[in-house]
Amino acid sequence: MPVSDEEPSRLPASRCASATLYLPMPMDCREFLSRYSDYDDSLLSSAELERFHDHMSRCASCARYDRVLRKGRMLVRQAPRLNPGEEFVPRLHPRLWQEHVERPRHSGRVSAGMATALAGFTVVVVSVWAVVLIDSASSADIAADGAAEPGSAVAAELGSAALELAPQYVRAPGRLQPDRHQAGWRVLPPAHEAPPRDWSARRVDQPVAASYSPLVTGPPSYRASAAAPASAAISTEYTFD
Amino acid sequence: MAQALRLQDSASRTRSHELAELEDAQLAAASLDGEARAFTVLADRYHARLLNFIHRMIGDRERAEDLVQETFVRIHRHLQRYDQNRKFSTWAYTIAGNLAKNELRNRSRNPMVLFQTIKRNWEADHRPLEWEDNRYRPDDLYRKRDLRAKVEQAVSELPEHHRVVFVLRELEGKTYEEISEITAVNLGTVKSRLNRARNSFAQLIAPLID
Repeated sequence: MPVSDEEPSRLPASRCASATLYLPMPMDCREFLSRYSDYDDSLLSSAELERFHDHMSRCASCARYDRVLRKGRMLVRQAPRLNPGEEFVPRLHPRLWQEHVERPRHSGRVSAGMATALAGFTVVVVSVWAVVLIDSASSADIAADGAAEPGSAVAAELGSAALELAPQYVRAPGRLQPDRHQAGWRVLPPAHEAPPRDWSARRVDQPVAASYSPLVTGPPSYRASAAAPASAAISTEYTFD
Repeated sequence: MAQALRLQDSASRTRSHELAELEDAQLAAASLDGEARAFTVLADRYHARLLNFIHRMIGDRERAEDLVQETFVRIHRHLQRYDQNRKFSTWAYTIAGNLAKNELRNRSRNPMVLFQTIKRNWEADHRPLEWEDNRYRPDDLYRKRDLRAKVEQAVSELPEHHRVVFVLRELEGKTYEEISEITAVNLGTVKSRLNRARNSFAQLIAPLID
């Protein structure tokens, strides 16, 4: 009886008199079948291999199983290997070439789509900014008109310093300004002419500086003229008569 | 002019020889860099292997060739997704196996395809015998060929998830780890499926062999 000291967990409780050597458990057919792949793929230790051989020497059925499987595998492996037909490569190459050609075209399509989306997004953003800009510019324009009107109380309060700080808001004859009511451009009347009656007059102390546009980066004077405490003190309302 | 053409032809052949000596991953990288011949070398390297694998899976040679073509087209299309640290063959077999699985699924939904396959096999059975080996007499050859056909038939009768593991292991020589990656199942499942596939195969062929 072969004696082994390997893998004691698999071994039975039967022991020799010395109590240090273990006898291998005889294999049954169920274990043979369940672990046959390990045996077939040579994944077993020498002791386990011995147990398989021992079982096959005693069990004709399992020995037959092993024999049948080996012969069947050999027959399958002996079957002639298929080779692609003559037309395989001539068919494959045009398809690969088509893929090769279409690959950059696909990526071009993607970039064109992305460019279109980006352009659309830019148009939307610019439109929104333009509306905000027009709104803030016209509000500031009204405030500046009042502030810069020669001889007005606003000019008297702000003095010449405000005019120097905010020259772009000084109304000049014939200067183009955005018209937020007619969604276009209008020509401002000369400074000495009175504005038309239908202009929406706005109080100077309304929070003009609250409208913010990132496109209007410049004039610190804008805040000075519109949000200065001096303008808040002025409660003049325009009268165009 | 002729001299220039000869030089160009010689350079082309030299480049082809260089490509043929590259590893699969290097060929894939070269193909991604725009070297079209690199992919041709890859295709030449794998088309027969993939054809046999898919043929074992679906049992229809013509359709298997179509699927091998489709496999290469997909490999080419998605080559940038290939992880060059892993084996190219595993990736290629994964794509081929998925296509074969889809084919079998479609076939089960469309019995007409199955009928065509049966008809084709019937025609193949009635081909005249080919004299393969002079050492055997015609009746031996017939018996051997008949036995081999029946054994191959036994492989095709295995359930699909057992068959793919059996074919990859026994015929393609893949390791358990590779089979696990190709079939996207864990290692323990691969082992148990392979064992069951072998048991089923042995039961099917036992009356024929022994």
